[in-house]
Amino acid sequence: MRSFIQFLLRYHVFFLFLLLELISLWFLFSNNAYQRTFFVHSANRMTGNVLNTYGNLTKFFYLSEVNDSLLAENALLREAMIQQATADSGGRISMLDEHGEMLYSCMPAKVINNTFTLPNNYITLDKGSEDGIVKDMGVITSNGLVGIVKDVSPHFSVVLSVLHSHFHTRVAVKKNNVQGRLVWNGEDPTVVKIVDVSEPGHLEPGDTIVTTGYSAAFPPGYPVGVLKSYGKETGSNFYTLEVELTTAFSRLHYVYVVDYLLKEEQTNLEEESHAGN
Amino acid sequence: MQVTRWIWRVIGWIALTAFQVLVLTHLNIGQYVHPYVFPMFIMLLPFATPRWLVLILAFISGLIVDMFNNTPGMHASAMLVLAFLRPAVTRLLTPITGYEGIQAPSMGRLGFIWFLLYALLLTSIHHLVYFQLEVLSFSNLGYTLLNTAASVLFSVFLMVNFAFIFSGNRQGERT
Repeated sequence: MRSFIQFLLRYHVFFLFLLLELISLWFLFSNNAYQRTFFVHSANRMTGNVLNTYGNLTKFFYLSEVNDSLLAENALLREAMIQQATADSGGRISMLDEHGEMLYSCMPAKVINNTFTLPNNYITLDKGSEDGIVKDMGVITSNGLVGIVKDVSPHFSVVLSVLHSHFHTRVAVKKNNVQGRLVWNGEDPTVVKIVDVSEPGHLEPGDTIVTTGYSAAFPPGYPVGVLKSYGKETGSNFYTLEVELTTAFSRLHYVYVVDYLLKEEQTNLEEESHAGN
Repeated sequence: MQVTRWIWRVIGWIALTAFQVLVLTHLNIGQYVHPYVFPMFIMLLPFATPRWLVLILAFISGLIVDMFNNTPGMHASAMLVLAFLRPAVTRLLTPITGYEGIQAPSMGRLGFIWFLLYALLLTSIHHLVYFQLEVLSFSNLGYTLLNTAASVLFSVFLMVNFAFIFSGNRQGERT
């Protein structure tokens, strides 16, 4: 026993290194498996507040840019208002179906932290569970997709960006409804791929890509990007489409968190029928 | 004197970390260039700092950057490897005259070439581990190596500049 303690003391630096390294790797791998790590993410109070303060300090430098995007957005909203969308006093915008029933409600949020150069990117927003944000809600800008809410704290939330290896959603070519899975290969933050497309038909660069209604996170028919090129995967029968994103991740300031109001009804019904089988 | 130096070190650490997470991570310098300069804090600790303390400081500083970047444990792991191998690198680079009378790595006392090699070796170790960990959930070796090499060059460039600026400002209490 004595010699064992002596052995530990003699190599204490190495053992400390090993212990701390194991802790770090545990953080890494427990998180990759989608388990919540207890504090290593940017929605905690300390990082959230630092990022928010810094965001307020630097906001000034982006004013003209934000102004431009807000003007463009205003125009879009006015157009949308004609198509039965309404905005209430809290800044929430609702999208109605053809019977005037509310389907989606969008809550504006400010981006306080955003990476787009790493292989797995996250975005931190200044709204959290106290503002009604829950996990798995979709996040969009006025012209494209941003991601899906992954973690929520009372005042902040972390969004899994479209530019993340775990982000997947079904999208379609608008003109002929050819569908596939949207993935990002970790390289160019402006380009994503649509994989597993079985028969693309005739496509042309510039064709609009939109969301499908299969995921409750995003409203169907929402713009995603435009087609750049497409081709057959070598050694497979599937096609891959290259798409240029409409969302400019390098200039993300304000986003909308989408609340699908019928989500509960839809998932309950789906679960019921699965249970029935 | 010793206390003042440590206060300066802590201020430097906070400044480097803030610069890293608030500015550097958000710069889009190029597809392959993702510099990390905060390890400089560990590199500049005095030679006589207990090794366990260096490890713990490296772990904490890595974890703080992890929190901001949503990279759980990746920076902490890379910083630990850097901290663990730091004595080996200093031994490797021992000048002919030895480290006699020199308390901490500095460009002023040990020269530009020494500092450049020291920063290059340790930054390469750190970046190699970090970018490999990033890739674990992703695959493309050539891309990662190119990424590492380009980022190391840029990080070291920034570190050497910082070393120049700050060794000039504090002539009086150079260590």
